[in-house]
Amino acid sequence: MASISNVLRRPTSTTGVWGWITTIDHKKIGIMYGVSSFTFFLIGGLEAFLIRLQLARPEHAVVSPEVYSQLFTMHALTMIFLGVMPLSAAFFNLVIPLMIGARDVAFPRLNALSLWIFILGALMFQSGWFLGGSPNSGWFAYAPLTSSTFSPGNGMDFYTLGLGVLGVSSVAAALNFIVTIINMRAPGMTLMRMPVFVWMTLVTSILLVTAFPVITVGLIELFLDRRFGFNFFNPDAGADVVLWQHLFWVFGHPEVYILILPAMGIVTEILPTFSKKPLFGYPVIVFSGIAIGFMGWAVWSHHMFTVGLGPIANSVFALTTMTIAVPTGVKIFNWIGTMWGGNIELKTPMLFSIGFIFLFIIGGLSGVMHSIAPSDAQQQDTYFIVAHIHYVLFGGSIFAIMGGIYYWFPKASGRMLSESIGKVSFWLMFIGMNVTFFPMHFLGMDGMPRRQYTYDSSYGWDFWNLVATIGVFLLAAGVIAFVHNFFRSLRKGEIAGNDPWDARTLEWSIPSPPPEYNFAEIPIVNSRDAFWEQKQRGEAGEQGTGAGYGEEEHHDIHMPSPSYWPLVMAIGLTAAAYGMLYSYPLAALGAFVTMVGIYAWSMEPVTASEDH
Amino acid sequence: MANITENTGHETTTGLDHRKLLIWAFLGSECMFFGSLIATYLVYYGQGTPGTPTPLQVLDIPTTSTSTFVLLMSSFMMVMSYNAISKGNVKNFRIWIMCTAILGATFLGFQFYEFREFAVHYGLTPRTNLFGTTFFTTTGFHGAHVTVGVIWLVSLFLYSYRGDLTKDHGLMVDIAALYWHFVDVVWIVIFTLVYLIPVGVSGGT
Amino acid sequence: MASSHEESTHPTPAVYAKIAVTLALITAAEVAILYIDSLRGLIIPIFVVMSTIKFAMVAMFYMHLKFDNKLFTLFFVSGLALATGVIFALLILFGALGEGRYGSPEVVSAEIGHGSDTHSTDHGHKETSKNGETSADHATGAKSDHADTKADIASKDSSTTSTTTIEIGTKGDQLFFDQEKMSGKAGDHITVKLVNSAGAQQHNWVLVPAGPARLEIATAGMTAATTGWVPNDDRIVAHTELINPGESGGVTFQVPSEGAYEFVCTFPGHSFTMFGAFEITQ
Repeated sequence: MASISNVLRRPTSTTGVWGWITTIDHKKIGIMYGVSSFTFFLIGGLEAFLIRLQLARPEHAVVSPEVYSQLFTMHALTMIFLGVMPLSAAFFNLVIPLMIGARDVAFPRLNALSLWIFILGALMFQSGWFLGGSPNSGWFAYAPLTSSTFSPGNGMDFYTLGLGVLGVSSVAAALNFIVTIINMRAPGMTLMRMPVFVWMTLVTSILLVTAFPVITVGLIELFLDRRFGFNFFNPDAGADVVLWQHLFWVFGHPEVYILILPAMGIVTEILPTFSKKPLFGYPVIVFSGIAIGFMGWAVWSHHMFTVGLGPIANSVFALTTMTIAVPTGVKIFNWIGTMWGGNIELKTPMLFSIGFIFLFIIGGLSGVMHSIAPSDAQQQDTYFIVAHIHYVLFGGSIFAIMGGIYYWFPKASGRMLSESIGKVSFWLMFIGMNVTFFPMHFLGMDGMPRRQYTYDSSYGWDFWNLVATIGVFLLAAGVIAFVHNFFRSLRKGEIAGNDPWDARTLEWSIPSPPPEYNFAEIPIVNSRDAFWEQKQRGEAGEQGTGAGYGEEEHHDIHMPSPSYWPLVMAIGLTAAAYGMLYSYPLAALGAFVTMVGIYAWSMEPVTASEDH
Repeated sequence: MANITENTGHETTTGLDHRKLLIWAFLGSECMFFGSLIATYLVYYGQGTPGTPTPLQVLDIPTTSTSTFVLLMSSFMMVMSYNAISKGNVKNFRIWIMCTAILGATFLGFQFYEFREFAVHYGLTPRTNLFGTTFFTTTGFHGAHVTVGVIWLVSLFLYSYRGDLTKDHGLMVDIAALYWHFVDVVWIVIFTLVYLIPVGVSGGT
Repeated sequence: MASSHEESTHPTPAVYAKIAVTLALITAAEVAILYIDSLRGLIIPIFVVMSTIKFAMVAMFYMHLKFDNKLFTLFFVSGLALATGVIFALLILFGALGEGRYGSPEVVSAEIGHGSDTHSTDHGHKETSKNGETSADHATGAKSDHADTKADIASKDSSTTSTTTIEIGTKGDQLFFDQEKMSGKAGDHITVKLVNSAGAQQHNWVLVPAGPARLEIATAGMTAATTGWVPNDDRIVAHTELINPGESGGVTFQVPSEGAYEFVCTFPGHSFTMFGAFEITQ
């Protein structure tokens, strides 16, 4: 039967470059997310490094003001959308199916699509540097600065189109994980027996699919204004530029919970393992996570306290913001309760997790200070906010992610990362982080505004700025140590075995790295921490020893086959985005390629050469 | 507690097919998309530029109620086409789904006519004023969704000649139908908020 | 085996057809109601209810939610509820509900030239409290509780032909007049009284030719600090003094015999949103 999918024969290889490009295996996809996003994290770090060099001394001129504006804008956008979010996605991909006893996600090709749209969209986003200028309006891109009048050139179009494309990737992935988590759990794994990381992924995914459409609409409106002269943010036509701020922050606030909930989930897995104790207050932690997800919708205008919404609006949002600190605090107490009385093992993942708790508390405290609207009038748009952001996002998300990397690297690669380098890296990052960001509290209170190109010595900001820049060197050293650790361990790391940490959840019951089909037999789950319970009962037996997982065995397990079409669609979508910027024929071609991809995909069976 | 779905033969935790869960989650997400467009429209309603067309000057209730009727009837056709395929009746399915697509295309025709009237007869374009901007964008994106739907339905029609749509109780048609009905209910909301209420409140029929 | 497709009462084609007919009838009824004047006051709740019924019928029967697993309903209703919440929150934050712009008869009537243009400024007052003005309560603008300041009001019983007084106000602290359209009869002497119900903003009211002149004059006004932000420009037909928050003031002038005019507040930055059309009636 002649069909499009026969014109290009279905790829079958699972090795080699082609194997990686056409893979739909969640483990490979997770690794690709991890490697690409960590690379973008380094780029974002480089941008930060340049910013700090520029600010190290007063009246410095390391870069021009125009470049500086692009640097701080792209630093934020890169770290958030190309760094933390896809790093979280890397963990979702690597770990979630294993934790719930599944062989893959619900829609493996959709999963690959998300990956490739991310990679191509991220490259498009960064290409602005070489194509006439990156976005330069600050990451929240307030109107009317972003109009074509005040931001001529293509920079802000890379913003609207790039983020729009990335949004498709995120929403598709989130839909995939919602279905996976709800519908693919091992028999016996009720919702309240799922690991907390799975819960946090579910809440995060729900936030993603509901919040992203709002920013997508905002981006569409901005794009239409800029490129076609629409009036959404045109004051002459009676528009209100504050609408952009609302649309942005209605998305933006759930977004920060999207950034932190997976991190909290990771820490919640690591702490019990290295305390040799079950999680303290599992139901409460789960409900707090859900509560944070809900309440996150009610606080957005705390980013707008100084816009002039009026005392009633300000009071309402101040109260809701203070309230959301409660479930967060509850989680912190539960984490401490988990460690209390436990047999603590200070391995690197645990160090990062404890560091997370400490640093996130500091970030949370400054956050609660912001929630007091009148006080925020002084803090808003100063380095005090910058300090808060970095304590929660670096001390919070990044530290948790680093902990997760050390924790699950053995599972993904079969080898251990070096503990000694890990500890060095941790301490460098921990000290560096505090040296860099703690002084920003002082700078902010002293009045130093954000997005400031340079400053005069008479303000008295010289000393702490210099200290902050020195801290960046320590941070960088810590990150470099990690990168070295990573490459070294891939070649020479100690062999991990199935369960190097004596852990609690299902992913540790199978070989490292897992075979393509994950589980030789889907486990039956009778409790939380199912694997731990199995071990205590002495039943960890066959799955735990790796027997029965040989290469030649298990031909009876049919896995979905690789496919080109996700990549083809991603190429089409990205081409269409470039086309909207440069050439409508290209846009049409991109749309056509995307359509071809959709049709070919839908006609392609899930598994090649099906025999039913 | 894993139930084998009748549809696909593999077990899922809820007994529901993955694809149905996916489409419903997606529709929940689309509520937020249209919600944001509608919020923009409502927030800006009444902001005029003197000397440019206003809603009450251009909105045409008779025409738009007809197109609303057309779209509502298309939902009926859609549900009948799913009914046919789920019973294995491919021939009837083809008739009903083509009718749905034709009615959908008719709705688009009405929209195209309306857009042209606004632009050519009244001089109202998205650039003219805020009403133009918000009206064309909101109804335009709805129309784009209808267009995607029509293409989808025609594709299913064509596919019925070479593939088996009766598999899984017509799940593929079921999913397209859910999308199609969703686009219809969004139009119900838009028709009420953009057309009926402003005209009704002013008494300016 | 429990399956999502085994429903106890699967609708038949006859049921579907009945629903289609109902949907058509409700739509027809909605259109008919537009012509029933007596229902106008209730029209928003009426239409909301009717559309909700249509929406629910399509969702429950055509989309099968009534018969399917409740998880689908949860997904859909959650998205719907959240979207509705965001819409309402934004409408409230922008002051566009109720006496705001959407659903406000004044705005839509003004657009099609209905009724008189002497609107009470109660909107401005209500708007103020909705936005949580904590400054001292403003006396209702409609009455002359405000001391007329050095505002330049010609006496209302002027010796010329009868003078109409038109009041125009502001929308609380928002940079909008509370009317988008005013009119005056050609040749008449009228007094326009600006009631400034803002808590912290000063405003004025300046009558200028329609078109580019408005922004030109407003731009020139930005440097006219000593003359209440009103520049020296021959095109200006009439203007009030700069009115302080909580006060009012007016100007009496003769309406030109023909032409297109607009009114605007020339306080720096306000002209982008504080303007409207002034129609000359014969």
